[in-house]
Amino acid sequence: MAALIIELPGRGGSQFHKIEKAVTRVGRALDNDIILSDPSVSPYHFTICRNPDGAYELHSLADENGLRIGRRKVEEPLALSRLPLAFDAGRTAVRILDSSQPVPPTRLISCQDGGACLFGHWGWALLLFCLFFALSAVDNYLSTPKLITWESFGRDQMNITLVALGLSFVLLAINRLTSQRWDYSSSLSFTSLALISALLLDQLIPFLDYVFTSPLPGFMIDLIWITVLLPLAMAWFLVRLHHGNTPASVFFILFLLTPIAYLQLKEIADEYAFFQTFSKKAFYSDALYPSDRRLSPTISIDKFAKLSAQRVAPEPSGK
Amino acid sequence: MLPRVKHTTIGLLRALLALASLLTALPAHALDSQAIFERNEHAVYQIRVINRETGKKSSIGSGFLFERPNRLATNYHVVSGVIEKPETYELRYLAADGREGGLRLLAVDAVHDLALVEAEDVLGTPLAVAEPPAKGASLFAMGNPMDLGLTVAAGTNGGVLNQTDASRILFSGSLNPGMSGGPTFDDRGVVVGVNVSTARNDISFIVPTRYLQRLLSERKDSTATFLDQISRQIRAYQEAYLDGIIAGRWPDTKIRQMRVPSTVSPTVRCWDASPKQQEEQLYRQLSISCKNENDIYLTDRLEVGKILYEYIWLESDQLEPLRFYRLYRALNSSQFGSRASEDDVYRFRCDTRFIDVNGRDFKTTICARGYKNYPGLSDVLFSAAMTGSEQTGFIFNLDLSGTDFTAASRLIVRFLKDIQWQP
Repeated sequence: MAALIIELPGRGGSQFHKIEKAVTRVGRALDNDIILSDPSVSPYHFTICRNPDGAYELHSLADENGLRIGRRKVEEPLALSRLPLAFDAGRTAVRILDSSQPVPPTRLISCQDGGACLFGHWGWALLLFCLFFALSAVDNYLSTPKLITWESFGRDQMNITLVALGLSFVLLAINRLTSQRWDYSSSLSFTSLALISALLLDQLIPFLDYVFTSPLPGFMIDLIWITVLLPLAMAWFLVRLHHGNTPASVFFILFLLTPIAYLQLKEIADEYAFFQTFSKKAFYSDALYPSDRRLSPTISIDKFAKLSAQRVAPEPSGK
Repeated sequence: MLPRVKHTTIGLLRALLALASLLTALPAHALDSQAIFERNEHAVYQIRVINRETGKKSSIGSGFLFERPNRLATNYHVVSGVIEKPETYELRYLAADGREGGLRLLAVDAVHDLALVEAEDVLGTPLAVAEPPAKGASLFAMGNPMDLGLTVAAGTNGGVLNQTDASRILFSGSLNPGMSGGPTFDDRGVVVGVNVSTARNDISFIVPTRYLQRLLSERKDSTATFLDQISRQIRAYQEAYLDGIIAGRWPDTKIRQMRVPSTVSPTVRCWDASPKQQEEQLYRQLSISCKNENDIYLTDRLEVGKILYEYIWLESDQLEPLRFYRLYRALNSSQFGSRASEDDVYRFRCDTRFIDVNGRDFKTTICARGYKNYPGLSDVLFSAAMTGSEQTGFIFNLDLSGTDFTAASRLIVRFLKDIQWQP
């Protein structure tokens, strides 16, 4: 039989210990071969013994919390013939592995060999953040139809910068929890890109409303961005780029984006009263755009009166 | 033939008798408010809308004996709860001496806010009615303010309000809730109007009695409901009112480079609504807002007959097109002001198109929502914003409440044809 490996949970991922001695003792006492710090583990909790014929056995030494495989308590010596074997020593999850067991294929690190690397490179991170800052400054300028003082402009920009940095730190924390890695430059890049796309959408949506004389195309893009594109991009960032734990990544994406998506959808639904049978508001295309590009032709007043009567005149019943 | 001759003769005799009694009843000198109160106290009643389940009054108004000994005249808005929810409410009267009994709705005129109700018992002698006296003459309004007992309020005739197509008279006395439907007397003690509403500070309104006499001939046919009848009345009124406006000659006014219709009817008043120019502002905004005073009470959430229109001019030579259009777009968001709920109206349906308004392109939207209980009536919202100019904007908004859609559409067309760009 090939050598055995004990896998124990560690802070930065699993810890692996090769079993080389005939008797390997595991527990909380400091004279054990492998020492566990979990207080639910006994000072001498279990041993793994190699028999003269080379086979291994697991022996429980603990009277308090013992060993459990699933719900079954291990009291008699257990032959380690079928590996991997997972069991609990107190509250510590332990796995016994066969050292000849194959490992998953190596995940490649993105942007190697000096290629373009938007994520994980400080140069790109700062460039993207500067681009976001410039776009938000333009947006701030466009939405202020009065003389702008450096003081008010700086205050607005400071606020939006703090929000962006706050979001990038949240993403950094999530990345640390899912992949056990600190990588602020990639978090900053991702946050900057997400905010840049939000700012561009803010420009695009009224333009589409005007071109199509309908708010629906812009609404659909907004909906797809918040419910599909942003979660997928975040999943790619955490799982594919940073090799994070998939269930944990999905959990954090849902945890972070569900409230945002809910609020966004609620705002859109309230605006257009989609999920209500009644609304006091009239829902129509009110966008105006300086470049007069549109698919809808210009018609005469009389034709408008005729067409609108067909479209909106209430039926005799009032409906 | 005989019966017909007999009938005619009896009718003539009755008319002469009534005239004689009126002449003998009329005093030779002007009465003061105390005398008017004492002479008419017996003929003015409190009208109560009673919740059938609790037996308690939900709202109150006043009424007076008119035409027959068991018939009371009052306001439509006093009895409208019974029309809207007959299964919940019923009508009762309360006399000054404490007598009370049930009432039956006989006829309504929602446009002029009048109604006739009838009691099973004989209540007393009907009051004589006449046309209102000259402007400036004394008037006396009787009623039950705030359920505090019958009282009289003195004032003067402020004249016919032309904002309300002659159907309202200004009364400089104090009308309070509960006095609606009560009689307004001249100084001879003859009823010349029906108390109807107040704008407070002794600005009150009465309806001339001629509309009450018209109501006698306007009975509902037995198959139609009161709701159908009210819908027909308001539609007919609105159609005639709007067609009258459309056919009229409209004075115009200029708002920068746009010549626009001004007061399209004597019932409309226009005001400058331009926001105050701020020093740091890089644009100029001018607004004119016009509206009529024809608020016709339909229910406690629906007031119909309103016409409200506004012109907004926006210009700037300092804002770049994208920056200018952010502001222009924010201003182009007209919404309909109303307290209507889901029980009253359907959702708005809208249609947006680009149209040519005398050589300039406008992005226009028309929205309409029908009334659930009043077939044929709808709220109409119209909005038009000029396009194609990078630093100049012009918006025209028009709202019509409780109107006939076709008539509203004709009015919109007339407006659009009268809006002229003058470079």
